[in-house]
Amino acid sequence: MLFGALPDLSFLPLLVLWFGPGAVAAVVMASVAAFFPIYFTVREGTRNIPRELYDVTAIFKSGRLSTFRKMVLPAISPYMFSGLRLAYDFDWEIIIAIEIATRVAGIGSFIEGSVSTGSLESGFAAILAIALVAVVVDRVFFGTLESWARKWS
Amino acid sequence: MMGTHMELDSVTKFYESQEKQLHALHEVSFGIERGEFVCIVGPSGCGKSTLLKIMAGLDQPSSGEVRIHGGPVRGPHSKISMVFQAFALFPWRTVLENVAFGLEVRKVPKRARQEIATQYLDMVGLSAYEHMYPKQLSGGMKQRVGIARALAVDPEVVLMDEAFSAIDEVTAEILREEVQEIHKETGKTFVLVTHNLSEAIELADKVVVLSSRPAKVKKIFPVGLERPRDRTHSVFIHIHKDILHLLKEELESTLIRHKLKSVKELQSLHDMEHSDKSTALCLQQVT
Repeated sequence: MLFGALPDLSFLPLLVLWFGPGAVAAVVMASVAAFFPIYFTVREGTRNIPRELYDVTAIFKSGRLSTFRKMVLPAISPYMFSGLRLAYDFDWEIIIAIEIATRVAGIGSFIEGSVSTGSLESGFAAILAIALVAVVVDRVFFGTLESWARKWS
Repeated sequence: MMGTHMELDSVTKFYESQEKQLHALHEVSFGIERGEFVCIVGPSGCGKSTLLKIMAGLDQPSSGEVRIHGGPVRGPHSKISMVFQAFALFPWRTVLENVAFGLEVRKVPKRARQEIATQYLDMVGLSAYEHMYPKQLSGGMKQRVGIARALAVDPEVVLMDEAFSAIDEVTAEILREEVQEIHKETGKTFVLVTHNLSEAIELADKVVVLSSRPAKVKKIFPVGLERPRDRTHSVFIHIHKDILHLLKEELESTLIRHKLKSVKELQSLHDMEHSDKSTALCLQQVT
């Protein structure tokens, strides 16, 4: 798929043109970047559902809605959470890149400001803060979510 | 207990793919009595499983029909349940939840379905495992869950697709004995597709032997032996030998057909005069 292969940041100049250099462009950009990791992992998840399981739902005459709720959703939920986690990691990069590129106030532009005025300590402190937040959210939030969704595997 | 329960009436199946048409089943007809245990055997790839799928209503015949109590089976039927070769359990459901699945789909209230599921788990000797996930179970235990799940909806007919072939032989033997016990106790109709002849003769009231593709009913062997059956009994051995002979014949004739085909392809490449004399001879003999 073309869009999945495209480096997401290539949209940025267009988004800035349309929405102006601000939070709106950043949010739209982050959403675009978050879409594909989720889309591809969920698609992978649906493809990995064994055919036989569909036969089981058919044998017991499970309707479309109940098949979705009782089979497709639980089968893909670990993939959904992996996708979310991946999207979250992507979005950190995207947000910081946008802040630096468009000078929107935030931790990205703070790093840029600190470094360009020679205050390397503040720059490193901010980078460290990002790393800390990113790791904690990744491990604690997504880690728990994923292992909950995979508790049966 | 008596009377025709299910009928297969000239069931024929073609599969269409791009340019190729595969003739899987050709006018397969036989009847199944109420409470009968029928085993279907045939050369591998002959369409046994396709036939079972059609009986389950998971697939439609190209022509002919399957009937239960005289009415056509046009899709999954509430009186027909199925046990799968690779168990097909939902890995995210506990043993109990897997067994209760059919009841859940049928909107049986939670308490009631858990009670029923517990009963059937008891029947297959898995009560102690109800809160485990399939991953924690051995193959034989998984198939017990599969059997309990199929029985929990109280079907009249239980279809089994190679239900014992993904399990080690000793466990399979124990499971076969238990299935016979369940068959005796419940009086339900069982249909098992298998490639294991001894298994078929051990379990069946009659063994339906299919030919190679397109599968037709080659012969039906009634097995009148008393249960539990002794595999060393002379009648058992005799039936086994007869079916084996029939299947060997079938396989050999298919081999010759295939050989003939490849010989014909060769023929189109080379001039007949320059090709091997024995090939020509073989062609003459077969055609």
